[in-house]
Amino acid sequence: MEALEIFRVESTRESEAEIYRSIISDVISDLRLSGAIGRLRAVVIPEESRFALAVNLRDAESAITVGDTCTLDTTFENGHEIVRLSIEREKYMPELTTYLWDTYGRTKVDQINRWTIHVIVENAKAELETIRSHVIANPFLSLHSNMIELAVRSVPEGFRVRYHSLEGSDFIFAASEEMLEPAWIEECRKMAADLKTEEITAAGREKDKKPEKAEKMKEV
Amino acid sequence: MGTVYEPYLYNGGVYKHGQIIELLEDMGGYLVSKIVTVAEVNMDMVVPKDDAHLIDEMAKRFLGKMIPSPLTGVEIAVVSPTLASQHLPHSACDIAESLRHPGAKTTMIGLARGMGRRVSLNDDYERRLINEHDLAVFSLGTFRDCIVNKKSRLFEGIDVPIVVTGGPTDLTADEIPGADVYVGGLGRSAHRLRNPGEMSSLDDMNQKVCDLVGRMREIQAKDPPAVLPARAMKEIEDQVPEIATSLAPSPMTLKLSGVRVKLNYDRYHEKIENVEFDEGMKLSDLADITRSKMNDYILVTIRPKSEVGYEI
Repeated sequence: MEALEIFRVESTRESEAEIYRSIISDVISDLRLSGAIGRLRAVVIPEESRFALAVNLRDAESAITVGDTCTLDTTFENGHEIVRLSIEREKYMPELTTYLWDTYGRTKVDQINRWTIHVIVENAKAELETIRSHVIANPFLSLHSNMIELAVRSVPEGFRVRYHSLEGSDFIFAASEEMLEPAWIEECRKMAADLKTEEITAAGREKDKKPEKAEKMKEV
Repeated sequence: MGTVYEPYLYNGGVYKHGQIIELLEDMGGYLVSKIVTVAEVNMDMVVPKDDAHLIDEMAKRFLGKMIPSPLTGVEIAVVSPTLASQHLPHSACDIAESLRHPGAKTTMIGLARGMGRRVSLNDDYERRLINEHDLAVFSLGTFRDCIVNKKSRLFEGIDVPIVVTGGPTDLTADEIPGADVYVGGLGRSAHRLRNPGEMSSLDDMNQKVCDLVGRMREIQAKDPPAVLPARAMKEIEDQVPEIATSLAPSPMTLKLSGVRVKLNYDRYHEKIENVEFDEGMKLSDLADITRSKMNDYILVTIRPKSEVGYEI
C-alpha cells in the first residue's frame, strides 16, 4: 500500500468538504503521519452532528529492542569487562542512551565515537543478553496516540462524544454532540473494511483530488 | 462648525520625530499611541482634517509616511466560540492581527460555553464585556448550517454592531439572524492565513469593517460626544501620572465614544473623575466613569452633547 493512495473527505456541501480536506491535510503534515497512512476517508455531516473517520494504516513497526538497533559483543579493556554496542540504526539513539544511562549510570557508559558505545559491567556475558532484549521504543504505540491526536484535531468543535479504535491496521473514529449510536461505529468499521478492498484506478485518484458530495451514511 | 479630525498612522525614523509631535500639538491634533521599535517609530494620531497636509509635508521631509488609518480610535472585540484549537490561533488571531493594521485595538475573547451546535451560549459577564467594545467580530467556522441556524444564539444580548466571519462564500448577512456584516472565506483553518485567497478575504473584511465604522461615525456625528475622546485621553494622561506605571500594552485605549483607562478602578476612579478641562468642567460632568468588566479597569464613556447640553 502506498502512502495516502486514497484521501477522500466528504460532506453535505462540496465547499465544506474541500475546507475539511485542507484541515486534515494540515494536521497529517503537522503530525508527520503521511508515511504511516495508506488510505483515509472522512465523512462530516454537520446537520446530523456526525463525524466519521476510517484509516487503513501501512505496516507499522513492532516493538524495537536494543538488538534491533545495534550489534553487541563483549570485550575486556583496562581491567574492565565491557559490552560493546555498534550502532546500526541511529534513529533510536536518544532512547538507547537514555536507557543505558538510567540503568548503568553515566560514568559506566562511554560513547567512544558516533557509532560505538562501551558499557562497563560486572559480568559482560550475562549483561549482553539483558541489554540486547530490552525494548527501547514502540513505534506502534506512538502511532496509535498520533492517530488519536489526528482525529481529535480534525473533529469539528463541540463533537465531544467520541469513540476510537485501532484493530490491526484499521483505525476508526466516530464523534458527535449526541449519544453515539452503536450502528454509527459499525458504519465506521464498514468504511474501513470497504476502504481496504477498494480498487485504485486513475479515475478514482482524480476523483479523490476533488471532494465529492457525501452520500449520507445509512440511517440507523 | 467644529473641527473635523482624521485618523492617521505616522511611520518613519526616530530621528526628529519629536518635531512631528510638536506640530501635531500646535495644530490641535492628538497623539493616540507611540511605539518605538529600534530606529523606527509608529504613531497613531488624530489630525485636524484641514491641516493634515502640513504634517504630511513634514513627514516627507523626514522620509516618513502618513498613512490613513480608518480604525484608529476603535476598540474591537474578536470573539471566538471557544479558545479551542478549532479557532485559535488560526483563524481568529489572524483576523485580529489584520484588524490592527488599519489602527484598531483588538481584544480576543473566547466564550466559555460557545462550542458546537447544541450548547452555543454566552453568559452575562461575556455579553457585558463584549458590549464595552465599539463592535464585535465573531470568528465562526466552516459549516453553513451551523452559522445560519445555530450560532446566532451567541449574538443575543449584544448591543454593538456584529460582524460575522465564516467559511461559506455564498452567504449574506441577511441570512444570519442578528449579524450586521458577513465576511466569507475565513472559516476554520489549521494554518496561518497567508494564501492569496485568504489574504484577499482579510482585506475584504477590513474594508467592510472600515465601511461599518464609517457609518457609525456618521451616526455619531449627528450627536457627538460632549468632548472629543482623544482630548479626554490627553487630559487624563497629563493629569494622572500613574498612567505611566500601568504595564498594559496600551495603558489607555481610545474608543469611539470614550477611553478605557488601564488602572485599578478602586484606587484611581476619583482621580479620573476629577480630571479638569480648561473650560472649567470636570470629566465626571461629561462622562460616566464605571468599572470595566476587563480586569477592574476604568471605563470612561463620554455622554453625548444632547444629554450634557453643550460640547467643548
